[in-house]
Amino acid sequence: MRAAHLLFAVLLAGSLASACTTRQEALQANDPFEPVNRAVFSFNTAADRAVIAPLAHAYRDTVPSPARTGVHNVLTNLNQPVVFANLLLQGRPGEAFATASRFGLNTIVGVGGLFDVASEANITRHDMDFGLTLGHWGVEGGPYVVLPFLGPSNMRDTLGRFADRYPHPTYWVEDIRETDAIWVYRGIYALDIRLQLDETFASLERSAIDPYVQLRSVYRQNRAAALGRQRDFEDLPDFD
Amino acid sequence: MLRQPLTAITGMLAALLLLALSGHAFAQSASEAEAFVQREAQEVINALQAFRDGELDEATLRRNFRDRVDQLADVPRITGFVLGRFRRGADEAELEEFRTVFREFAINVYERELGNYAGQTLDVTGSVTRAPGDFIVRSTVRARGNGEDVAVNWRVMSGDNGLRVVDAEVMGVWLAQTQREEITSIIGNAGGDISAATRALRQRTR
Repeated sequence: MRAAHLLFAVLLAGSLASACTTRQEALQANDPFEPVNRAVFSFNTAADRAVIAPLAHAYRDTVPSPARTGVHNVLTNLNQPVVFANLLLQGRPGEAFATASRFGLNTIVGVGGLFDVASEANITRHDMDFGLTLGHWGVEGGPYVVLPFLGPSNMRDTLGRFADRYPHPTYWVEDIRETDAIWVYRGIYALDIRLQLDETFASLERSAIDPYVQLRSVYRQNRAAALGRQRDFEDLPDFD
Repeated sequence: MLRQPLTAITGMLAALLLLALSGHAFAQSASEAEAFVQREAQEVINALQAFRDGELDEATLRRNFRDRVDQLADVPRITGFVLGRFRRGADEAELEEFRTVFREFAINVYERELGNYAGQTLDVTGSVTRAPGDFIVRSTVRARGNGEDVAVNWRVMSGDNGLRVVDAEVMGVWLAQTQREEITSIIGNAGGDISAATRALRQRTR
């Protein structure tokens, strides 16, 4: 399996190297791999239309809303140790403590996270990942990449995705990590997140001039904002 | 990781909707810019609520939108901005065609979103003066039902005709900046041909 991963990485690196662009707009957007990224974007769009969206809609149509909300709450709760670890790594112990409190409360009182009692208790929910932690430490995003099935990212955030697996509870339990159970978890996670994104996917379809570039721009701006880099509005462009 | 950027798109549409329907004013200070966004946005909200309650039909709502969009948002300024470096040295006839199609595109897209944002309320929460006549007005759009509130920032600039909204931001994503990246990418791919963007916009308007 590891040899297969290595081979995939080598092939990917080779593909990227041979698929660089010299176009000014792409380079300004830090997207030197635009040709291959566009191909992956097209693949993702096709996969979504053919398989992922229909499955997500079937899930919506067959599973009652309260059950779906419970599933969403469990998945969100399972991610809290990841948030906790990243907040600690960023030197934010207060928010890390609040996140730990959320996790404890929702896991115990909220029946394994089915019920979000922490929100009812006004304990703030934070979103954090290792890509943002690296950014907090001063690591730049690097070139933009589109990941198969996962969508927009950059080199830093892709690395962050791998790192975030380790503090996640599904990694702690060998019976989940080393068996097909992990794929069941990932399948449910994919359905849930796709359903959460349903209206925004439709908005993207309706509003984009070039959907690929729109998503790239939105991703870059959103991540910069999550790092607090736009708080003072000093870097806005001139209009004239 | 994907959810936030895509959620921001929905928020951007709400922002543009309010942007396009915001009002006409000749104020020049930050406090007046705040009042401009609050007052005019409230009118939009009232119209949306009337539409939602059945007191205003969709055709009237759309007609109002089209009647007001040019005088309310600084469309020529936004159009020039989204063209980026390709605005310089462009053929005037091509530019004029682009302006017409760009405005039509924007109106068509955001008209379709009208129904999604009826019933929301907007509260202005403060402002930042970037430079004389260049303001950021902060606001919160309060969602209906179980939806989450969305923070929306408005870039308001003064010009010959008073204040105008030129851009709106949700979750760090600026609408006009995003559109500029899309349009300049299309033009760049076409070797600097602005009509390529006009064609793409026309196709998306259909």
